[in-house]
Amino acid sequence: MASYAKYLDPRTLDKIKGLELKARLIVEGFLAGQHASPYKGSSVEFREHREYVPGDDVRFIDWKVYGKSDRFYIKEYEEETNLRAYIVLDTSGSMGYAGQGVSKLEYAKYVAASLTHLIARQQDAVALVVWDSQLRKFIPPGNNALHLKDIYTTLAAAEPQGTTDITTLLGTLTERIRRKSVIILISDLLDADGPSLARGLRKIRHKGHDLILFQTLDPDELEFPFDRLTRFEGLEEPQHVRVDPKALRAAYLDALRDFQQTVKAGCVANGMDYQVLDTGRPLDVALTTYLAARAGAR
Amino acid sequence: MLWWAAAAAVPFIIHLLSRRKFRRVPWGAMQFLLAALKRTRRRLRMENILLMLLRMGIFLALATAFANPQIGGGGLLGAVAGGSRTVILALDSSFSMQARDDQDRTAWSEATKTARSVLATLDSQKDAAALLTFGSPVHLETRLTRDLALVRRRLDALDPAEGTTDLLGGLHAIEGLLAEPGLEEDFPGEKTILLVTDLQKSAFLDHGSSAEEGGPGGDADPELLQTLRRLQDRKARVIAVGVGGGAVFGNVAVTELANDGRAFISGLTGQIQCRIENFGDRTTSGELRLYLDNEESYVQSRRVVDLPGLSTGSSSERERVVNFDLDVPKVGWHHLMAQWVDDSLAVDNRRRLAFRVRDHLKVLAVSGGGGRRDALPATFYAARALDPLIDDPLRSGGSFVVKEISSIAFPSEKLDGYDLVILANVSEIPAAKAMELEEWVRQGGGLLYFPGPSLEGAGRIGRSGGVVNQLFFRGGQGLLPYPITRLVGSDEFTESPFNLQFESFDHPVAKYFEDPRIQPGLTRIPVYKLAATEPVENAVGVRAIASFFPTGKGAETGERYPALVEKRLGEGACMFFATSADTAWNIYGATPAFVPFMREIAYALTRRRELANLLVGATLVEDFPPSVTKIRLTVGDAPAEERAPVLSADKSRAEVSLRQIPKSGVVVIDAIDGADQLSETERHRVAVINPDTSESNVEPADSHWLADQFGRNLLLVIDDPTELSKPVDEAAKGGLWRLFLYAALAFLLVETLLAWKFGSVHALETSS
Repeated sequence: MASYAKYLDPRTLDKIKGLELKARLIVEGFLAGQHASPYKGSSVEFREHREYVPGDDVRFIDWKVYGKSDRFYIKEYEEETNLRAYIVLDTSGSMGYAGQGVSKLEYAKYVAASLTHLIARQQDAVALVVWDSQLRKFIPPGNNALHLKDIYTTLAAAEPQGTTDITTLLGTLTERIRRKSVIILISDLLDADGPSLARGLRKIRHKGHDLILFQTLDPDELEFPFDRLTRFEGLEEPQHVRVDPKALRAAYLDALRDFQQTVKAGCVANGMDYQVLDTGRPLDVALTTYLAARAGAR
Repeated sequence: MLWWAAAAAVPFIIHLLSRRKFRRVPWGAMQFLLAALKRTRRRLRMENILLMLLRMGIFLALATAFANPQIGGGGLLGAVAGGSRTVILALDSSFSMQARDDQDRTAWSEATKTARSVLATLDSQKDAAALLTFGSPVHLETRLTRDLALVRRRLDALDPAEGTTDLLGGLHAIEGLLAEPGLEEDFPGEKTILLVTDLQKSAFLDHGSSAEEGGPGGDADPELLQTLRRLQDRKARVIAVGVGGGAVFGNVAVTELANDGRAFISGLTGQIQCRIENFGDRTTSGELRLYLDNEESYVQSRRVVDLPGLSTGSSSERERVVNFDLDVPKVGWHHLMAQWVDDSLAVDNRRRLAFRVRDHLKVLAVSGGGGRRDALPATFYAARALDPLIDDPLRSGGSFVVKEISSIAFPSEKLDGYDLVILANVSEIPAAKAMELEEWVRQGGGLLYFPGPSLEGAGRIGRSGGVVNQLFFRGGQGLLPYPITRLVGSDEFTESPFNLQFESFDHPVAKYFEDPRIQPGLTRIPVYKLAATEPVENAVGVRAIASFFPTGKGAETGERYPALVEKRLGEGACMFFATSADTAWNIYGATPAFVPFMREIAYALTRRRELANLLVGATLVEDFPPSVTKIRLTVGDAPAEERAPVLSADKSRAEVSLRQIPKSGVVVIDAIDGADQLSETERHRVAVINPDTSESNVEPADSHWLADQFGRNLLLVIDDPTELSKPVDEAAKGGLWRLFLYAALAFLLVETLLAWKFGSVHALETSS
């Protein structure tokens, strides 16, 4: 089982082709290091009958009751899954930054695929939202093989582009997701406005959703290790800054820390989880965070 | 070399170029970068400018250092690239320059070495130099000349003088030199005056200021300041070059060698006083030796122990008087030398005294007539007090030989050859004789005047005149110190006599009677009558030595009358004793104390200002009869030199002079008398030259004090003469070169620290 653990390393995963395979290796590697999972998927269970109304799916008519009562009743079941999980992937241009290893988007894809695999494995429904400045793809919750394949394919095809508009995104999600769900937002949150983000989070919480916020950052962005005169060119906007990084490092790290504090404070205030994902580190951080949040949601 | 300064632009260019040399990084977290920039923009801009300036400073300092920076654009010697230099070398030749340090070096040797080095840096084609010494007497060796070889030769031949530092005199001489017509055309541009000196503080100090002894206080000599300002106006730059290391060393000087003022009489014992003073810091001991004539072997010595120095004793404790008893040699000119053991400054360890030994002093006693009580001449007691064997035609020996004459014979008596004249009871002599007597006193003679009964006649004395006053007082211009106004007392011996009382005991006459065992023998002698005088306020040269005051019934009046009054007149002196010389008005003559009283008065009146004892720098002038045709002069160890004396305008005397004698020593003057009229004593004379011991207190001026008092613009002080001895470029390198190099290194260090801390270049350009 230990051989799976290496697949938690993003540099190893980068060498493996096929996102689905990567996701499976990640999850297996992750679970291999866990004790017996406390999270078990639920099976389909009958709950009650109700009278048929036009528009109901004829597949759910209980023909045995019809045979006995000559009336159409619909069989209602418990939810097919424990929860609906929406994985929201930011594919804005800034997610394309790659320092020494994989890009943030690649790392985010691994995380999204792994979570998809993990969620599906637990019989939960998983949905995918691909978004940058606008909604690029919305795959509703599901759990069958075709559904998952669709997710993996979408993830694999995602490319960095456009700018980030997280406020609009959160508004869109609030409107589209009506049932209580877990929303997993994977983004670098760059170009996000702290107060706007806080307002969006409050709306999400108001709707009863749980939200796990994964801020994906490259080690370069976390440590700012540059020491030569550098022209930093914007990935999302056509802007640049030419600067001696050593002179700015302290102020840069202060600004980053201030932003993260604001985001974290907003998440804590709304009972949400916030986790920084360092693309230079293994992926188990994301999975552990998800499982912890999932346990809290039960 | 200053074009190297253009290299200062290099950092600026690098700075600009470096802003173009960068790597590109596509960057997502631009918001944090912009926030950081916003926070640090002002600081970064400042650091950026500071870094660039520091780098430019490095290059500027290096370029300046390599360009051999020079003060005032012309270096210490006024050198301007391609121009000429005019240097006036002024060497302090005072005797303190001969002080030896631990390694037996003198400031003088260092001064000449410095001067040679400076000359070596001058260009014989373009540069000019002058040479003078400013130890008293100031001596101009060469005027400004481009013949530097001549200056070198004069410098090599220079001998240090033994006078005091005459900085002001030296600068005045330089002023005169620079004011010479046509000089500016021949030697245009700035002049550099190098004062090579041991920086004795006394040379710069205003001696009227209240500087504490050994302290840093005191003001600069205002005349020196004015002179320096005038020189500055003449575009002359004055640099004082300190030599001798400025060290304070131990020095004991023999500051005085004298006898008690009495004439030297052959065969008698003379009292010689030698004063020594410790100008050093510590207590010292040594031996003082006394040499007579032949300076190869001493005749006496005294051990002096524990003579406190500056740090161990007060000013009075630091000096000590050592007495010698001298068996006065035979008649003629002699000299003594007192020598302290040689210390670091040997010049003032020796002091000399020239003196003439005589077989006796000649006294002319003039009596104005006998008293009424006996038929003895009025000078009877006084003459015998001085010359006890006066009545023995075969007498020999004795200090005084007295000739007694009457006032009638006095007009025809020649005064030349006498040392002292006593006028007793003389109330009338021809006016011409009185004038001759007065002139004789002015030339150095001594006169003792006693009143007597002859003054009782009408018109002799009085407040408004009288013959005596007209002859001898002359309205204050004559011999008597005060006019005689009246006679006080009685011819009869009464019960209310007068007694004598000394005013003080610091006069040689009074000093003898300071001993309370001896004093009553004189002061209790009754005086029944006296000549009262009216003191003249602020009379020049007059001093009251003793007074008469009435005793008995008369004591109640509280009156006092001048008893013994001295008047200095020219080179001589006159004393007035207010009562008779015989027993007409008193009984002095019959008392033992009268003998020493007369002798002390006679000795005091026969003192001479010794013209033969001079200080270095003074001029020696000796008179001879016109028959002297040649003078042989021997100065110190130098070979004898023969000179023809200069006849005075009236051809009454021949004169020879030695001007501004530069060194201490013995001067022997031998006159060659064609008529063979001179005695041996007159023919062969000796004079001595001593150092002025005001130079002995070797105290270098504090450089901070000099800077405070004069400022660097007026007087630049350089403590290290080696800065001058190097070539000009080297001098610049030695000082400013290092300074700028250090500055460059300091800039580099700061720049490195800043660059390490904040980054090497801050580019602040943003497109947003």
